[in-house]
Amino acid sequence: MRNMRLLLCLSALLMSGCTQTYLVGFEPQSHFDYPNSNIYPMGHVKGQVSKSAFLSMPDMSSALKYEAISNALQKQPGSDMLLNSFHTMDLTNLFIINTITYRVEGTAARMKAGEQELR
Amino acid sequence: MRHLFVIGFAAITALQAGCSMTVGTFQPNTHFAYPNSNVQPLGHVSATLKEGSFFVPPELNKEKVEKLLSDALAQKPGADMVVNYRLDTKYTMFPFYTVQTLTLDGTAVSMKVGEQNITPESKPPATNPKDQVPKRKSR
Repeated sequence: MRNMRLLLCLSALLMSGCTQTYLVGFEPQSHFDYPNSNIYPMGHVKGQVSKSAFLSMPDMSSALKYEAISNALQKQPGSDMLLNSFHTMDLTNLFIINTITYRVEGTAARMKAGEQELR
Repeated sequence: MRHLFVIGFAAITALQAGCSMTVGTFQPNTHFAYPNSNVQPLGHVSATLKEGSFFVPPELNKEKVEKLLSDALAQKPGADMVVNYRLDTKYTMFPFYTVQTLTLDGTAVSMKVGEQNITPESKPPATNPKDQVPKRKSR
């Protein structure tokens, strides 16, 4: 009986600690590209942010995506936006603690806005 | 039994009180930016719409979203769209009462559309793969 309880606790522990990864999607650009600008790619970058909550799921607010993108852009000083990025989200639940990890990776780019000649 | 039901009901409503949930996104632009245009930033704008209702959560409809956007654009005269914006929907639950809060936060810009110098030889690419002319095999 005691072994049964131990087994039950162990299986609950194993099941509760699992992580599921979801593909959020592909995005051609993270920030607005001014038509009157030149854009220069700077290199591949990755960024992520994690939020945890007790008993409930953490908020999936705009801050989650915004902070992950900002984190990625910090890796390339002077970059303004991410190009051709893909976004994934890890959902981890450990007993009563739920964690969301938002990951983003793509090409960091610098944008220099000017004025284009139009008729 | 009756006391137990009352205590249970009170506990459920108490647990719901003050509970909130936010879902949102970060996007590049609210409107299409014409490639044949010049876009100038006008400054930061922020708009909030709040509505509460008893028992049933407030409805989220097109009119509300359009009002939120027009409220944000009205803050900067001459603004045509909002770029690099954060949009959040928050529900705060009280016993029998739910508050819905919509928030839009971004940079207002103006767009001046003109015409680009495009050479007459260039044709727009075919959108349907079936419409594309197959390449000839070189011998």
